[in-house]
Amino acid sequence: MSSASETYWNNFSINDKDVERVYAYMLERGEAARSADLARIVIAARAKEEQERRQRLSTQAVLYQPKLVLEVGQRLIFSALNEIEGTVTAVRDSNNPRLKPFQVATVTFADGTKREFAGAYDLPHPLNELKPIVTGAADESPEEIYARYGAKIERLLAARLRMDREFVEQDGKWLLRGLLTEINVGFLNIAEAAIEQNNVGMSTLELARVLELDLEGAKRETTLFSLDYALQRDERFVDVGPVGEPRWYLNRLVPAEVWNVPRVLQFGAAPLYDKTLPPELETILSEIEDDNNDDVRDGRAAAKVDLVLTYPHRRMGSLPYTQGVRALFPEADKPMLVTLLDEYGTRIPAWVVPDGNYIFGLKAWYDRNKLNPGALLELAPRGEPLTAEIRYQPRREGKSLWVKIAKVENGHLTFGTSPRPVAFKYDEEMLILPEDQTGLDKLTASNYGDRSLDALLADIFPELVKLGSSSIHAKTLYSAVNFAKRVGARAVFSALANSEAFTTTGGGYFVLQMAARPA
Amino acid sequence: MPVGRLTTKSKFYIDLHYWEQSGRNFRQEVYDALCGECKQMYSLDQVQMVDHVDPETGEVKQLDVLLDCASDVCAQSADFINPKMPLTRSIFRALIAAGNTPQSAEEIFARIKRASPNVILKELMSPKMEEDGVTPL
Repeated sequence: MSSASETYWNNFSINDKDVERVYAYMLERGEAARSADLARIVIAARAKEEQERRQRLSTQAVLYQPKLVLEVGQRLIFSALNEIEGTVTAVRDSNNPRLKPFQVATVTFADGTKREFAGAYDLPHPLNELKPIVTGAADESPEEIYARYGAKIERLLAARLRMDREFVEQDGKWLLRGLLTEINVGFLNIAEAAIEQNNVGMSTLELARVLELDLEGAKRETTLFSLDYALQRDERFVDVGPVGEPRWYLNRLVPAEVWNVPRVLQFGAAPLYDKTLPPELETILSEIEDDNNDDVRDGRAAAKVDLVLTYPHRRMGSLPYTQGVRALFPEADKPMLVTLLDEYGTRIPAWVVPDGNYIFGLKAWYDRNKLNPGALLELAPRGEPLTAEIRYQPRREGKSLWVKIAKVENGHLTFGTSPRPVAFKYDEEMLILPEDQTGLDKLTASNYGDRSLDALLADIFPELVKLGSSSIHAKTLYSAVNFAKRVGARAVFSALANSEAFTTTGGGYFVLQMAARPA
Repeated sequence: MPVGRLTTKSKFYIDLHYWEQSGRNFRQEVYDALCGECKQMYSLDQVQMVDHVDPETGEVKQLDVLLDCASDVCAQSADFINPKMPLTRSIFRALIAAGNTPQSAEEIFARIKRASPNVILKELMSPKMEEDGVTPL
């Protein structure tokens, strides 16, 4: 790209003419336009303007400056008058006793109008300082300019249009306010009733059909835009759809745990370690779907996901929003309403909470199926949008098993064993049943879990050793520490591997070094 | 863009025909506002149209000699439009400083640097300014 062009577009700002062009384009189009399309309009117009200016300058017309000595027949381009061109048809002497004599030239324009302009006028005047340089706005094609500067021009244009009441914006699209379809409060009341009756997030199109709005031909996009715009501005409604795909629900029906991350689901602080895990721990980690606060969508295809239920999620009725779980649903940038389907076909409405890294809404399902921390769960994709299957593996309860239990004594987490019926298949190392729910809830509310991960592990480790074995598996420690605070498995395994207080004995087992135990 | 509704971009000017019809002397008004330098150059009874060069476009228009001097010379003085004047007076002086070329509220604001374009627009549409012949284009 030429430096003149770079200079022009780097210093670009939106002017009134650009806004007028965008207005005219949208008026003619009659429907919503994307920011990208509007930016292309501005770029194309500016580039064309510059091309025409260059053409005029190149055809022996001179840029008008008052200091020029003018002659009849001379062609002039007037930069202060939108680059119009005129021809000098007469020249006379000036008449102003206050000023040094100058020329007064009559200029005739293409439309036949005549106006007079100063010539041989060497007094200070801004036009006398002009240097007739070519701006470079048309050195590249509009497509090339858009590829390089499109994002910046879109941002500048959006900022300018937001200041103008004539333009309304919704999800990166623009419409002239005067073209909005009227969506009155009566329509919105009907929409509210429809959503409540169906108890699902409804798309804008579905609501438009319920409201029997005009969706024919050219009106369709404007109608949908107008409905989205009205719903967005009515606090009864909330968009609970994936990114770029609004689905409308009622604010008052959204559980509080979706807007505010419950304390038991808040991640504890975990130190970052530079070293990767020893291969043995990486292998163990790969066998469980890690509940990790750093998880982001990684573009993997939707596939079956195996999870082990941990305490924080059992307590709140949630699932971790791991990378594998994310792949089962479209991308969410805000709470998203989805459906989980169990093996009996029961449809469980569930809430993806991206900020909190969990999916909420399974308490009743966990209670009904008597699930506990350590339970093996499986999620699988399903062809239906915003839906996945959830399964656990039932186990005949039969004789009670001696299992680890978690309880609270003197404000500390401790463990014991007790016979309990277990109606589900489980991870041997991670099965720990909550014994004293009231005590555990008080522990969650206290600052017990706010201590460092090393301190928590050092506190919990001996409590597990009391159960009969001096070496404890990393997965057991991961499950146990989650009774104090939600922490990912990688963080726990890293703390075990990097702390001098713990030593591995192989196979994922660790012993506590009493001398090196953190204070 | 709003159509048929005055905005801060709408242009206003002093209707000299209105002054004539009202029996008021616009030249006297301009002369009273002249700075010392212009009063030395011209007297009230010096009635003459002169070539006036537009300070932005270089276009030449015929302007009363007093208005030409007021807009080119007096308007450069800080006293011509000073903050102690009532706002309506400042607006009137701004129109004179522009040689009675139609000005918008935004352009007047840029010159007088007082109030805001919206407040100036309100004043331009007020009965007081209407009495002074200020009218939208």
